Amino acid sequence: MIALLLRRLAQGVVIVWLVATLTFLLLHAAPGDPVSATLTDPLTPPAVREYWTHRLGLDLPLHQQYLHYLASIGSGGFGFSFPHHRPVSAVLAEALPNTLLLMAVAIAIAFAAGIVIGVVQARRKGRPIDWGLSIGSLFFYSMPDFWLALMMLLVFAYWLRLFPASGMFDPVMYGVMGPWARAVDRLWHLVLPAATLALLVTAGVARFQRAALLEVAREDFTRTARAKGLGERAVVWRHALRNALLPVITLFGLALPALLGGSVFVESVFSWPGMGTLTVNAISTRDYQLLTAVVIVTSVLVVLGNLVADLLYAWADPRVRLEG
Amino acid sequence: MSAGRAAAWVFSAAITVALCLGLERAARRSSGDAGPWRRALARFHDNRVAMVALWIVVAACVVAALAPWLVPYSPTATPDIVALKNLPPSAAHPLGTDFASRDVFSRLLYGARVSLSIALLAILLSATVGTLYGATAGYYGGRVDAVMMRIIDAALSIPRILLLITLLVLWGALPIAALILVLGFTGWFGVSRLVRAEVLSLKERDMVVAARALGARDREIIFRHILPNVLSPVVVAATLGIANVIIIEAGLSYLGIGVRPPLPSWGNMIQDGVSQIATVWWVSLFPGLAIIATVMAFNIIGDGLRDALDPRQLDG
Amino acid sequence: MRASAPIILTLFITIASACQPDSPAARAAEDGGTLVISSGSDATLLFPPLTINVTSAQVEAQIFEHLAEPGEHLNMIGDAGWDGRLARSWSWAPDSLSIAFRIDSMARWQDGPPVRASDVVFTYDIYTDSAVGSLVAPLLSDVDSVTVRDSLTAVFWFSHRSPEQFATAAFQMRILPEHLLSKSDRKELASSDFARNPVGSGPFRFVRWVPRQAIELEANTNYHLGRPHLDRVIWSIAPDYNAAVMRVLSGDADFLDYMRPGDFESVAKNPEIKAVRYPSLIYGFLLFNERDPSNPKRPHPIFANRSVRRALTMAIDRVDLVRSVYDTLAVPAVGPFTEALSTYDSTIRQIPYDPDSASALLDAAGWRDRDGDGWRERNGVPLRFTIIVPSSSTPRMRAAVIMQEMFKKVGVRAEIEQMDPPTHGSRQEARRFDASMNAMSSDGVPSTIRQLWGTAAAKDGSNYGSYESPRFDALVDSAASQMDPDRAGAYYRRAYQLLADDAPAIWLFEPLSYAAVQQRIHPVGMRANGWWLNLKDWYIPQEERIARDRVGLSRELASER
Repeated sequence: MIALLLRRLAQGVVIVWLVATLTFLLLHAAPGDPVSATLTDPLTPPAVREYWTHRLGLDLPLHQQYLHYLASIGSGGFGFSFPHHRPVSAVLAEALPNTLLLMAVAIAIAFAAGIVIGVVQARRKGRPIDWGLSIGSLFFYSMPDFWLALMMLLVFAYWLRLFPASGMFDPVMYGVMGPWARAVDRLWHLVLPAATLALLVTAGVARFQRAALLEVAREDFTRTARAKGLGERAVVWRHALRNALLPVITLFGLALPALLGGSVFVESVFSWPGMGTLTVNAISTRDYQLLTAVVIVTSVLVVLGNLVADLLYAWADPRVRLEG
Repeated sequence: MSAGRAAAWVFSAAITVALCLGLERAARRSSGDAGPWRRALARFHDNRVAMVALWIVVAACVVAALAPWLVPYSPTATPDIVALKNLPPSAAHPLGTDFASRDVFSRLLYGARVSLSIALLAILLSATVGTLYGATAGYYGGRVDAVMMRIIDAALSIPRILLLITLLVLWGALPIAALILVLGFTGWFGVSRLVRAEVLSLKERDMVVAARALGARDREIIFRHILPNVLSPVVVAATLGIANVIIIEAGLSYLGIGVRPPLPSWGNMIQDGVSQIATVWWVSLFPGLAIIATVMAFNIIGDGLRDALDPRQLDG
Repeated sequence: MRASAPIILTLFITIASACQPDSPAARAAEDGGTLVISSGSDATLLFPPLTINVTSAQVEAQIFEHLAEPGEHLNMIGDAGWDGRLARSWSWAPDSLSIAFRIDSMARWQDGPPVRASDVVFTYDIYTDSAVGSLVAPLLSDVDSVTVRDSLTAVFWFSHRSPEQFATAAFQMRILPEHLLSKSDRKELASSDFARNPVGSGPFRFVRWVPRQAIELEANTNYHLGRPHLDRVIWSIAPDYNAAVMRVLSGDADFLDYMRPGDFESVAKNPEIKAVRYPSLIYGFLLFNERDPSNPKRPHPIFANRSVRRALTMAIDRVDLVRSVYDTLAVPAVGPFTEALSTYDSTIRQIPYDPDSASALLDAAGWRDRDGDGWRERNGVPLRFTIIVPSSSTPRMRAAVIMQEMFKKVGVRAEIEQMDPPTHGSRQEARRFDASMNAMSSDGVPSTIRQLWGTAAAKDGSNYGSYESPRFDALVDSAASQMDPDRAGAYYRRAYQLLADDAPAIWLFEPLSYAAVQQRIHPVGMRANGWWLNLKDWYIPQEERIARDRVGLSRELASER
């Protein structure tokens, strides 16, 4: 088990190195650089540009830049972000927890709701409720992320004024709020973005769960359980669901990149100060250091997510011998 | 409505019906047939929801193909940018006009053309690349497979949208052909995994083992015996992939880095209206609905195909 | 046929600059209240020498002070109309080669110590130290040195007389506290703690900055020119523009400095919000590249010809274009400046909208539609070019789409290439474009046009279109060396007329700046060079206050005093 874990981690390191190299090549092959993208005023004197280009090491030969770059990743510092005028690690340290919070809440809601919906559908296969829920989840599944976010914003924040439109807390009263009020305020701001992201994922989970349960229902042990005279409810919840959870665990690993991608849109519509908005920002300012850091951290998250999914899989199904 | 345009509408309706009826006939006739594809077609035909979705997609494709003859106005003409801008839906402009006095309905039809053809071409590209890559990795196995799959793992660990945004923003406005290439070349990683898994199991089967024993060349085995048998998961993945690419194109155009104006795509039409969505809602609403309808249809067809093609569900 | 109603007429509009502040005594009772500014971007850091972004500039302007500020008319020649800030008064040496600034003896740093002349010397040293890398350093090149005459008098020495020397000394630097910065590593100032927890001498003091979410300031009750009226000012940051608008519409924020044309309808429907106009220095234009983008040594096959550029200008109905894109929220521009610039002149003769003459001029230049396909060509080369447009700007994108149609009517084929702003910027810098949709914000200094349109900047400077005219250069040189504002103005006007006639660009629009403001907020003295510069004078009448206005100053700070 430990040897396997180590092997998986080693593979993960290779993957992250590949991603880092690919990103480096992409960024440096493209036109534009952080200095000229940030100093957009045409009246900026050339001497100032040269000064900062030199200080950021952008005038070094490419292979040296690459080595510096790998070293900065290895040290976890990720270099200096010129547009933010701060070390990249400091910028990331602020954004990452916000995104993780949003994703954790969204994943929890989505998987809980998705599994329940999937079970309900599987049990009532072919009935109107199955049909209605199928169409419903397909509807959200087929919606562009940003479009759903915009609609949620329009309806719940603008027309109904039930929830705040943007941000993570109320900047005005925050200073005078007690700890309890702050917690409630933060929760209040979390509702819309988390619900949007959750809606997008729930549909996928429910579809997956339903299919998996129907698949399991055809397998022998379910039939055996049924033949033993167990009630339908017990069959589904005790036997079928446990086995049908396996593909959903796999989905958890697979859904991570999509979720991180979707958060780019959701975060930017709701002005959530996480990795997504940071990405859009880093791209428009050609912030090489920050952008590569975002891509690398994202891929680390995905690799870790898959690892967790594998471990969960092994835990949920003792038959599975984890193999490299 | 001019006589010519009316005729074009009748013509496209006729083509749609003819195509759909043709498909129905083919499906019905296949039901007694023994070939796996024929049987799948028959099973698909029994799925009424999927057939409705197929009708919708056929209609959308016909309308998109015939758009130049169907539209009441040019999609890029700005007849009167002061008096005719931001008009709500009316008889003259069934879906209203946008900020530049362009007819939203005409743009929607042309947008179908752009969005659908981008999605189809991109998917064709990714399905081809993914199949070849996956088949190669699966067939040769061993070290080749390990290296090729690590690359796929790496590629899959970057969210596709992040990769696309990075590529598109860094290279500025790309012509539409390049956009298709970029969409195609970022979409094949999943397909290649699917194909590899399928090939791994196929190559141990009798016919492949036999062919190899008879001294057939690798290329021959791959093309003659393996690829035809991995087609069905690829077809399903491609159908679902089209839906995905339509959504992605919309997202990219929303960020201002997709299809270049004044060429309409559903994505950039939504973008045109986002800033005034509370007041001039028709500019963004209709392309949004068009996307949802089309994407839903493709998803339903994809699901239907999966059900129809998956032999394990024969008894279900 | 229904014309879209000019919504603006139905709106209550205040012209901010016309608001005269009441007497200070009458408004003493108005102290208090919270202003929430909805901001589209976060600050990068709060250290004036390294400021590269507008939110940073807004916040810094409240915390740090200039020696003096220009008056409403932004006069940059001599010191006419300037008001003292950190400096209470100043005196010129008889030869005009030095100016002595007398620091207000009441001025205190927010942590206690008095502001001294040595702080000014230290500030000059920071701004010009190459280890710091300040963007402002080159603008200070006219200053020879800064010395201390006595503890409250700082003297600026110049190598030669120049009309804008006073502005350079008084206005380019925000004065920094020597006692807090003298021990810092100059190279690391940008990432220093001070740059994120600034201490200055201005009307507001720093409270907190939650990155990408909010920046909070509070009244500096010890401010030497009297405490600001507002208790608190908060920048509430929403990178998405729609979210920023919604914050104001929903009442979560009080002020948004920019409204897009489409937002006016929403504002008009909301009785709690007013649209407040303030002067602006932004103008938009279509820039022609007069050099061949593939080989800058050669002239551009289309735009090098002055009469072709004039013809293309004639093909554009600027009045219609402006109305379509901006409704009544912009006026056609007459040159590379706006009404708010001190040397503005509305009488500059313009190239008229006249598609027939445009066609005739193009015919005469050899560009004709010989094959009858609707597009002109010459020697088999079609009259076709690409307009590059930054994707960030909806109005510019819309203007480009409309111009494309207008060009089409005279047989000119324009294609649009949309790109993200950095790419747009680097394409311009590299001269790799035919035509570019551009917008500039003037810095309020008239002589800046030399850097934008002068021959010296044509090859690798900021004159991206490579417009070259010795006459223009001579006129601007003459203008920039006049010590008398009227005579300088006369030269500038002739230079502007030349720019209008030579059409190195199509001068398109001058967007009028409107802020969306909650009714209870009274924004006083919004300036073209920064609506935020007189934030200390803004106030919220007692009887109109809402819950957030009653929070007051923070307790720990209040107890200190």
